[in-house]
Amino acid sequence: MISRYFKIAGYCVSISAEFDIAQYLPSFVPFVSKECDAADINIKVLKYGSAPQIVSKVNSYDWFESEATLYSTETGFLWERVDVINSSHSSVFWNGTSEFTLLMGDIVATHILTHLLLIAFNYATIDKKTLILHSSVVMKDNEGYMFLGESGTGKSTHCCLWVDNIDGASMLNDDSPVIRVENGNVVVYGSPWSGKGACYINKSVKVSGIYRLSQAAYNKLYKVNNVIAISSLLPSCMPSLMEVEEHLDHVCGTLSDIISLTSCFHLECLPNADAARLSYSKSYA
Amino acid sequence: MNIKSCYKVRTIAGQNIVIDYGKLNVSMTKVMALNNTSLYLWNKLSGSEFELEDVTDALLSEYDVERAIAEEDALKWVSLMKDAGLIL
Repeated sequence: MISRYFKIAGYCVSISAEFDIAQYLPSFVPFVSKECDAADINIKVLKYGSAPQIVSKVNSYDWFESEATLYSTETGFLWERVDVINSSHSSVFWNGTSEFTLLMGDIVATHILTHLLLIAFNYATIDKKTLILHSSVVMKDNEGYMFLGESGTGKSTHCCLWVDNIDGASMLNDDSPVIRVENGNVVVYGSPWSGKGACYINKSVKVSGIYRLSQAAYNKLYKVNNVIAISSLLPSCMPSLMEVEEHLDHVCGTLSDIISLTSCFHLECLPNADAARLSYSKSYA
Repeated sequence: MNIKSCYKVRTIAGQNIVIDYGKLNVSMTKVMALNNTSLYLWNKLSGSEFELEDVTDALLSEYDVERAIAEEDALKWVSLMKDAGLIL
């Protein structure tokens, strides 16, 4: 077994395989770390092996060019991914939250391995006040501004407008940043998962604001109450986390802290520089 | 009638929230916030089969109001909860 170590959002992640996984994980390069004595998360990657017996199907859904299904097993869970293009099967299974096994099957491909590691990381940290929120994040003066919304709403575009129009603004992550609640602060970390933006930055900043975006023929910023904030943040969490009561309890606990400790907004906007200046100024109506 | 057992009230950021998680790829998840009276009724009545009169009695046992007002409020609560799909 060859082990590689990564530090992601402050967690030491050990990934071991019979082959060298490094070549398959280009987006993990900025997160490479020294060997740690006791990893927080241990992930074993196998091409072939036996998966635990499935007890029941929890739910399935389409996700990232795959059909994903979450199953419960005797002592934990199994998350299976069937590729819609080549129908290859791969899975990740775990008991508790520190030991994960990835079964790759015939094809070891970067996008599949990266995706399964995202699932493992999500479940490994779910009970530790940590969430991956589907969003684009910009940094400015050591603070993070997170933009949420459905695919195609213009999250990335809005962040690009910040970078182009606000001095000192830069991208932190363009798809799946990690948020942690730490000593009364909400902190956002760059991650090896960043979608099309290919923005893999190993930095973290305190969250200054969380914005749900929607397209409009004008720019308008609203501060939202906690109920609306909950409703806006939930769809940005990984869908399979909503299916098991215990998982949803953890998600809600973390969201509760995030919402209590940060300002949440709704930004109706055009794709222009004024919209970026408005979200930066936080001058809400 | 009864409160659907698939729903659970969670306290999130100071609010009593019921999450109706169904649709994927939506901009906002449907959530319902219960005020303290509604939460009281929820806790008192969930897990059992009840009638409108039971809601009224629950209100009367906790709040010092006229029966007619409690009856009116009970009717409103049941109607709101039915509209929200929380009561069957």
